[in-house]
Amino acid sequence: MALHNWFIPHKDTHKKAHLLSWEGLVIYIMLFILLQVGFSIVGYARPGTLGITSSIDQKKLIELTNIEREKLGLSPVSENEALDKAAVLKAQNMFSENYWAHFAPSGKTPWDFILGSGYKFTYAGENLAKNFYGSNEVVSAWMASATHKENLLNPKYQDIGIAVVEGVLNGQKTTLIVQMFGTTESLATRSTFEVAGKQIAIPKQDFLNKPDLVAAVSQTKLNTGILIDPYLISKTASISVIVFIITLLTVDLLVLRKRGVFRISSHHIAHMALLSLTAGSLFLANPGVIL
Amino acid sequence: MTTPLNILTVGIIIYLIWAFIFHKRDKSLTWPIFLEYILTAILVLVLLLGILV
Repeated sequence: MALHNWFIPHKDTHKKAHLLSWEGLVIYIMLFILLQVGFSIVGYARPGTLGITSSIDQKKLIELTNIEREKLGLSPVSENEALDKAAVLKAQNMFSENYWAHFAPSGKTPWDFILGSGYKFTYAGENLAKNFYGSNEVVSAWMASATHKENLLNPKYQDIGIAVVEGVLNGQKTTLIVQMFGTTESLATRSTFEVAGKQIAIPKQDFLNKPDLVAAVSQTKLNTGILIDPYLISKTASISVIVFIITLLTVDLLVLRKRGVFRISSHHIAHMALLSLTAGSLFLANPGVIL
Repeated sequence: MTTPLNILTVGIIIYLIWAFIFHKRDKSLTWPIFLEYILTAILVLVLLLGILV
C-alpha cells in the first residue's frame, strides 16, 4: 500500500485517500475515544495530574459582582467574613464528598454551611462555578444564566462571601468557586433560600436552632508537579484533525479536477461545512461550568 | 456551555437530512456513502464532547 494513497486519490481507480475513507473516520473516532479513556485512567491512577490552572481572584469576583449590580442602580454587596467561611466550607465539602451540586450526597444543604458559619440570614442564595480560567469569565457566565443573574442582581442581598478553592474532584485538579449571598436585615418568620431559581423554605426550628459547624478553614495542599490540561490537549488535537481532514478534502477536490475525473462519493463541501461548524463550536466551547 | 453543543447538534441534523435528500435525488444513495456522513457526524460529536464532558 503506497504511502501517497493515504493522502491523495488513487492514480488509477481514483478512489479517495485512505485517510478520508470510512475506515479512516473510524480510526479518528477510536483515537479520540482512546484519548478520553486515557485521561480517565490518568485521573483515576494519578489524581491531581490533570486539571486546569486558573487565575481567579476572590476580591476581583466581588468587585465584578458589584460592578454588575451598580449598572442597575443596586446597592453593592459587602464582603462578609461568615459568608466567606461558609463558601470555603461548602467548597471543601464538595472536594471531600466528591460532588458538584448545591446539595451534598450526605444531605448537607447550602444553608447548613451559612448558618453553621454563624450567619443568621433572612434571605440567602448560592452560585457555583468550576474550571474557569479567569475571574471575568466566571461573572460573565453567571450573568448569561437567568437564575444565576437573578441571584447576582437580587436587591434583597446585602452581604457576599466568595471562596476560590483548589482541590481534586473526580481525579482532576479543579478550582471551585462558591459565591454566597445573604442578608440578616430582618428576621422573617418564614425564611427562604434560593437554589437554582427555586425558593426553598426553611423550617423555623431549623433556622433558629442550627448548631454551628466547625468553621475553621483549612487549605488543602495540592501536588505542585506538572499539570496536564486535558481540555487544552483535546481542543488542540480536535482542531488539528479538523484542519487535516479539510486539507485532505481540498486536495481530493483539486486532484480530481486536475485529472478531469468524476467520482460518485459523498459531498466534500457538506463535510467541510460541518467540520468548519465544529471548529467554530470548539473555539466557543469553554471548560467552565456554572451551577 | 451547552450552546456550542446545541449549535452542532442542529448542524448535524441538517447535514444528515441534506445528505439523504441530495443523494436520494441524485440516485447515488448507497450505504457506504451514507456511512461516511454518519461517521463524520459521530466524529464531530466525539470531538466536541471530548472538551465539554
